[in-house]
Amino acid sequence: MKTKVLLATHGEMARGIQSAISLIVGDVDLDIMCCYTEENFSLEEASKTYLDSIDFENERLIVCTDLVGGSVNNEFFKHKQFYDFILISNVNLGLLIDLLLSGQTLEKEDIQERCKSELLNVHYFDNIGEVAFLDADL
Amino acid sequence: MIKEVRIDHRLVHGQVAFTWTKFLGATRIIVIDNKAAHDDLQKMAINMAKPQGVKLNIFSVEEALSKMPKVEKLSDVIFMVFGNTKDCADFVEAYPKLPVINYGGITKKEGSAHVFEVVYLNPSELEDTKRILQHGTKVVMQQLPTTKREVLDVDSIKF
Repeated sequence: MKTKVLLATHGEMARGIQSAISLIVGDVDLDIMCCYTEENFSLEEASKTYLDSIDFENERLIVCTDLVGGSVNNEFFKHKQFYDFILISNVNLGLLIDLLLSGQTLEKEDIQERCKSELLNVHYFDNIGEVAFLDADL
Repeated sequence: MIKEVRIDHRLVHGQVAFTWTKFLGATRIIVIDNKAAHDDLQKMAINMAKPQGVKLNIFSVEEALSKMPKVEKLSDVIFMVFGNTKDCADFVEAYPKLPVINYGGITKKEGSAHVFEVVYLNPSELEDTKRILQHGTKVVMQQLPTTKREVLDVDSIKF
């Protein structure tokens, strides 16, 4: 089953992330939804139209949104009662790259695990402390 | 086994740490770069860029050459990364067993000719490339797994 990924964000964030992804990963399938960039934008309409366009029999959908508690995520969350898709919020570039590179083969539980990966958490870089912590294993 | 050998002036960065490592299924990255090997700060930075679950070594050319007997015995899928053509050519001269090297990204410098996409070579780098080719190693250029793998033709490079 093919996995589709939609990145839905406030403003042009999705388009910006898409440009970063194209530099790092290259050519890859990613749907984006930049919300509220036009005066007459309707989140309800845009999200429903997108979800109706998905062939859920043959495709698996992962919707990634920018902010937990934001309207974009709230709207897609409401849709989860009617459409069967995976919803992930507070996404960052690292997670998206991971999903796009491995998403086709990961089960739901694996994706859930990946979301918890320390590598993808927000990192506060402290002062330059101790030096080289490489394992000299060779 | 050594699955891919790359020259990338940015060493371990997004394309390398995520995209290429995943694509190759690499379990170990060996960085061979004289400058980085002697710079603790850079070593730390590279270590931070290392993907989860992947082993990392940073060696100078001399160190790397001395470790090759051990490296050959490893069961890891190895991704070797050089930072520049000189270190790579010096390495290949002493260890001419690498079948192909991918010029994944070499930055423009004064006097560089644009070869292809993100590969620029100046006269000294061209000489290094010729040294590499002389030892039977092929040179290709491929920035990302999804982009075309182009063969480098030294004769076509004009300054």
